[in-house]
Amino acid sequence: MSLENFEQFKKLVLQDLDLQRNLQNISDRELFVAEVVKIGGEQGFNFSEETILNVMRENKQMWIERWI
Amino acid sequence: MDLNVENFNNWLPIRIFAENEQVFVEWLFIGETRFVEPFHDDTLNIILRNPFNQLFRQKTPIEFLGKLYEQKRGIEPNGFIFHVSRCGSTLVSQMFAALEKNIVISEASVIDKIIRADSYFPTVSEEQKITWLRWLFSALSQKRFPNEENFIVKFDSWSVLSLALIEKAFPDVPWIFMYRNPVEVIVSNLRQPGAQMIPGAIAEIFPNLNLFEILQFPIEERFARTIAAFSKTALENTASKNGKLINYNQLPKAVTDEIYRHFNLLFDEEEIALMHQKANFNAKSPQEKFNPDSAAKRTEANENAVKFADELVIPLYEKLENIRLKSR
Repeated sequence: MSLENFEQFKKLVLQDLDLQRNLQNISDRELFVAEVVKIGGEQGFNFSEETILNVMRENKQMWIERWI
Repeated sequence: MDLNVENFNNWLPIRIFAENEQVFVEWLFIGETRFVEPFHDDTLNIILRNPFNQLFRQKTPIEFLGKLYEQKRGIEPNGFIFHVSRCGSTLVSQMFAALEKNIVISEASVIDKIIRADSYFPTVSEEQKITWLRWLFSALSQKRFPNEENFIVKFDSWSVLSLALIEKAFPDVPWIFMYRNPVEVIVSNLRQPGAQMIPGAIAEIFPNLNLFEILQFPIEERFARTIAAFSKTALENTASKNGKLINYNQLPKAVTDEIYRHFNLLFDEEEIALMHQKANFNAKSPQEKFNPDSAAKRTEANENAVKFADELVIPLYEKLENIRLKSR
């Protein structure tokens, strides 16, 4: 459920340039994750920090394995 | 497909993969970052430090690249760089990248994924690869700054084995093939092996042999056979109207004497001076001064390096040199 909510929130972010810009300006990873969860909640999408971190880990793994 | 190309301004394809018998593209937000690091993926790794880019990616069917190609064409490629590795090709790409008017993509993993799509999508046809390459290059060369006008691609060394395919995709794009004294290339790879030297990484080098069998060859012979395969392919394509041979020993002057003209590019004196500043630094480690090392590499070469260079590569090197010198 948490991941599905994040995927819906992600669609919103990818349509909203201002929101993208705000999130791109956060260079601290912890602050960024907290802000994503906060904004997600404000928009009606509830997901945990753990969900975000899992997505980031999976993205990293896929990037490392891109040559395979 | 209801994807809007306008949502992909400043996004770049970074990964291509198959899932459920379909091919997809993963996109990364690159904003206003120029590709100035020695290798394309180096720049992507810097961009990936931003947490937004670690979390938010876009995933599209590969056909969306076709939609972008139709609706928002990128800059057509001006020139391609093929090479044997460790022969000054990074210097050449870095010299071009010194100018903001040039979009330079250097050994992008995503390009290799199209050229070698058979590895994850076995039913891909040659025509599909050609189409996909055109679509991908257009996505990579989207104009993000007003002064961008040229697009140059340096391929991975092994991509020269697919030169015929690439020429079918881009029949009018000039290319150079760069090479160097084979002993120096072997020694460079002995110091630090490139990806092309991983045993079994390129099936064409040792066809029909398994990994165990490949590992029975001395390392210097494996390296020599790899360089020989690249050189042989280049020799098979020297009749192409698009091709030009460049020896490492012509650098850096050749970049602004010959290569840019071969690519039909025009630079003024100030631009040429900026490009030549790059030649003062190590192309792969730009914070270090350039230190000529050809003589040192030849001295360092062990008996096997010389033996296998002589047997397997020097005859091809001499043919390349004959053709190059006759064409002047």
